[in-house]
Amino acid sequence: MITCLQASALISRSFDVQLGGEESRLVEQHTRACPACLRYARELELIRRCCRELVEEALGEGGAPLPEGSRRRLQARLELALQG
Amino acid sequence: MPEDKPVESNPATWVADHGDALFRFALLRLRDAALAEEAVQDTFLAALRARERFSGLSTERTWLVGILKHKIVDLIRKQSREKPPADPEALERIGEQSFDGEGRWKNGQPDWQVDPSMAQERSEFREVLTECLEELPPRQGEAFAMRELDDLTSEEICKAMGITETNLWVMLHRARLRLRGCIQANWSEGGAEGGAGSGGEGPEDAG
Repeated sequence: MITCLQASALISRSFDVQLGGEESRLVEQHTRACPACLRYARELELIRRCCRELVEEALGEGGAPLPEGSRRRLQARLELALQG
Repeated sequence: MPEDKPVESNPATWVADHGDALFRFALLRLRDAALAEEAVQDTFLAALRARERFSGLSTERTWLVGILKHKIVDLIRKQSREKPPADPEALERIGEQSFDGEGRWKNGQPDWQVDPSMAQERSEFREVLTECLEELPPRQGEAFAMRELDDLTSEEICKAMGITETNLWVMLHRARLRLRGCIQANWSEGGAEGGAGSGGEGPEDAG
């Protein structure tokens, strides 16, 4: 069986690419016997979910507004470009 | 303006309609108000030039956010401060920090105990996560943010950072271990108390 060090690397990689069949089997076999690595995988899932929520929060309505100075400068620059 | 409603693009109202959201996203990514404003300005100007290409099939917001993500990557590329770690021993060093000599987790700590159904708890957890994202070394932080906040592909990230896929994989692995340790140190002991800092890495119950 692979070690936690190897399993954690594969678990991390599974968040970026589809693991191959053998790699998936090794991770599955390891996490069945290792609560720590299973927990690590769940924690990475939670981090990913919360990152998505941070983006949704930023792009949604109702958050902190653009500072007034920035708003004025952006509007002025845009109007200048529209005229030109 | 409702975010998901397809509309014709009207540059005169872009700042009013999308300025807040674009700025918040840019600030989340760049952590600097002046840079965030620069990214939003570059986005509006680029969108103005490419206005004919806006099909109206996606929302105006989605289209502008897509441009903004690329502008942020351009800014980061310009500001890149560290060299890519073309380092075959990187994985061994990860091992030294987080695992014992037999490859098992060390420094066991209690579970995070975040209840996904508790909105307040999740909100506090996101605050800790944000602080811990800021604690990541710049290149690791950028790689992680491009993956998890910008949702870019490995190919796009590698191109933007000038690294190989193996470099990226190692960087992301290190970033995740470091993030996990930081969150554990700043969350486990009673929630979002105290600032983010370095923390132990590794779950308990190592097998």
